[in-house]
Amino acid sequence: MTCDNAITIDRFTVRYGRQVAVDDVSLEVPRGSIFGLLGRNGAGKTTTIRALMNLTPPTSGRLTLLGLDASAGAVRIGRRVGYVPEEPRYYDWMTVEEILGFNASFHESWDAQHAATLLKRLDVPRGRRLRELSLGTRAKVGLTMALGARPELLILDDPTSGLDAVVRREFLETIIAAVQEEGGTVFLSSHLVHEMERVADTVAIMDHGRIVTSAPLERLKEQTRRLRAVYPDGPPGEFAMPGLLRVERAQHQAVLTLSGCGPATVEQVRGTGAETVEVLDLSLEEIFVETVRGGGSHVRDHE
Amino acid sequence: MSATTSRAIRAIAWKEWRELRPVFLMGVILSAMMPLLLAGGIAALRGSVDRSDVADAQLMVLACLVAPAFVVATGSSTLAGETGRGTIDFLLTRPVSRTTLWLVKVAMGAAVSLGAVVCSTAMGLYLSARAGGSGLDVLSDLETLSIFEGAVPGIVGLFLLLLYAATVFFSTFLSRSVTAAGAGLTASVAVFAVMLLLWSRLDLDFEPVVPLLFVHLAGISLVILAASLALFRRPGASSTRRAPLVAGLVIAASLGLSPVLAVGWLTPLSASTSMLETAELSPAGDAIAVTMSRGLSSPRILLVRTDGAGTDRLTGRLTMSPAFSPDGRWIAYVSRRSWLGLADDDLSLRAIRPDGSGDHLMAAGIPPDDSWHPFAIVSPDATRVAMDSGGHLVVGRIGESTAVKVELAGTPGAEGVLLGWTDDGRHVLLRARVPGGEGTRIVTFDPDAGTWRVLWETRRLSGFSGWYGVPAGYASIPVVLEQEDSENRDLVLVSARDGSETPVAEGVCSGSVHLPDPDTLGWAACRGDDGGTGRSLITLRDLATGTERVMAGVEGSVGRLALSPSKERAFVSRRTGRMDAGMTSSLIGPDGRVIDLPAGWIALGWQGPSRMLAVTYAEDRIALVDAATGALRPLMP
Repeated sequence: MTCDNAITIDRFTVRYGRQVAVDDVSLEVPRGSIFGLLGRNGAGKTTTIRALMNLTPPTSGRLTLLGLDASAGAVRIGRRVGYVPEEPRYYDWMTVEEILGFNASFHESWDAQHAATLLKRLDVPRGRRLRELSLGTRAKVGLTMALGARPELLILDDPTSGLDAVVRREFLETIIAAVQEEGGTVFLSSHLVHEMERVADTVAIMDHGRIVTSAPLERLKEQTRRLRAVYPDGPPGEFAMPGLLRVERAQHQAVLTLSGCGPATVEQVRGTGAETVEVLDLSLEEIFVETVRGGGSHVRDHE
Repeated sequence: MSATTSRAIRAIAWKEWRELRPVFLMGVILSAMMPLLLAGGIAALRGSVDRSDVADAQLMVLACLVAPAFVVATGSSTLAGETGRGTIDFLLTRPVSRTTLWLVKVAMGAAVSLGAVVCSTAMGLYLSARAGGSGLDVLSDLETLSIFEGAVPGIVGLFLLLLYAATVFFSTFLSRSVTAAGAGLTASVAVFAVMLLLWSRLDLDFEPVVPLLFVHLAGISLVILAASLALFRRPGASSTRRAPLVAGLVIAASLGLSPVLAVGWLTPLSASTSMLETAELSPAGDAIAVTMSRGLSSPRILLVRTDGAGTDRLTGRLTMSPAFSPDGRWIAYVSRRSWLGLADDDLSLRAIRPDGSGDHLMAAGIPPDDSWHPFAIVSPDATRVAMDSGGHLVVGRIGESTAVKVELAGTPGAEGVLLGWTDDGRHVLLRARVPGGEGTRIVTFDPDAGTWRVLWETRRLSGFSGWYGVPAGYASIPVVLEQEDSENRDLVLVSARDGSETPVAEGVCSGSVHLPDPDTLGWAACRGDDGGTGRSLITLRDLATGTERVMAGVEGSVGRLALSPSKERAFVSRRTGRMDAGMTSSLIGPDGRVIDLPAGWIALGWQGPSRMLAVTYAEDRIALVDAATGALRPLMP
């Protein structure tokens, strides 16, 4: 754990009876980064975020935000962290103005001007009751409340889930703009990979309660590649190499998907009798699908 | 407290008020509309409406329905409402401590509940008074339903606190307000019932009960609220699967660990602060069974050891009128205590051994007569008990729960009073009025055959004697008859076998009688021409031979006479001056010497030839009296 991390998760586990929701997860989110937590529904993303926000108690492990313990320092964390949940539920009898005022009462650092600018940018009507607003507009209100206090860390739990493409884009652009202005950190969980690819600079993939991959996006893309190897006499029966996620065999070729793929890996494949080895880049979605499908390997980046 | 925190508290309070405001307004509007609703209801049921009925019913509905409904509605929505709507996460992720959040929410809920209850009650009382109802009298009416006299408003208030605490507690970990309301209501009623049962079974005196009960109720409520806070402070309270177990443990702990219970067990019954209602000496003279009470609904039976060993509580609350069997092995008594320990509508006849064992029911469901103090007399053979409840004669059998129950109206014993048993133990004797005219009769009732017989009847006015019990039963019954043309009286004996009348004394001014044993009749009477102010002679008649002797003489008119077993000493309560003068209690020795006792003391009975047990109902005290010197040794308190 270092002070340069906005979030440090150390051996974090959540169990509900015999069911393990999060299994021994460790993660570090550098300050100033836009960190994306990718995973299928039920992978453990929301449980992790709820634990970070002190809404779910960890069975074991430690979670630290901005150097403060997630449980013991919850109030101080709340002053410095903005949070937008997956399905935000607000007091729908309040008007936008009222809920912003209500929320402002809790924050010393509330910037009413900034909040007003955000509302204007997001085209949110201030006088309307929340129950009269669409899902997307309510999400924008949530984002405004999270950003209005000028947080050092913004935690978003699949915030664009259920929103249309236009609103999603608007939403993400607002986040990026805010981060660029403030130099803050964003911890974004989503199962929408395209979105993540557009905004995140560091990505972790979570599956079945475990982190299967965590690395800066570029490095992840560099290290997770597909190798098409041609074998005139047919591919060998087995490929034994670290980081192998999947093998697809044809009559004279094999396509290997590998994480942690570098020049040494290419040479290793050549050593299996391949006549030619072609290196193919993968999109984040392909990496995500291959990682989740293949069970993944742990690629850690400790730069 | 920082400015941000106080701003946050105000914001939460504002939000709570906005959310609870409909409950408050609805309650007040409902209270205002209730007279109309009740009038409609009563009209539909009865066909007509009385304004005062509506006003009284309104207060009852307010106390029993509206106020608890307010409390349940606010308590259950405090936290479960947020969980159910999904807004709790938004609130919990604001930078304010969970303790502050909980305190503000619970305080606002309590304040709104209180405000709603106060407003609706005030409105109810105002409307009640305007409509000519009983207003605050309803509260005192409710007290008759309670075992805790004078504590109803406090108990109702504290029950509402318990209800609020319980609904808040369940609201902490249940996600639906309705479920939390149901659970809270059920739990608080259960806790309250268990508490009442515990306190009732504790059988404490009133004075310590009410404050301790208040402390207990308030303590439990606070423990439950503290448990709610502890749960709320912990993240994920609403998802804990151990919540029901926690709930059970909290309630059990708050009941079981409540220190006032221990205090309750340790608090002895204090005879010094109770009122002595009845006292009866055991045949052996070793114990006195007394009925002690602090109020009309709380009599209980204590056993006072005459050797000075102390006082033991024999029965629980709402028991009275102990009567020893002639062999001293059983004490029959009257009970108005239900199995819950609360007041029953009917009386029951029970028996218990003097050591507290063998308590059993002989007869139940006996209608009480509120103007009559029920009492029981055990048969000479100690197998049966006759009880006079006012309008009913009940004959039970010791060791059995089958009894004969007879309503006296319409029988030869109508308006009769139980005298006792015949000496053969076969018949119950009653003194009754002659139907349709002046006069008195003695009737017998055969409990085996269920038959009545008029044993003796007279048109003359008569009084009966035998102030002190006749454990061996009556072979003959002493009767004092008024002379028609003077203020003097005649004393006669009526045979319990055939109703034959035997003259004993004529033209006497009074006729206090005592049957110290089956063979002896003692009476104290002055000459009729003394006008009740002369000298009374205490005369003993041997009933077998008919011979008489004068035991002693004493100045004044004797109202009570108790002869010692050896018939050498006597206790008398006498009037030596005018009729409005007080009575003087005196002991008369074998040599005729008279020792006056302090005012108010009367004999309970004798313990051997020279010691007498005396009681003063005015001072609620019992003492052993040295008949030779008149010295009193207090036994109770």
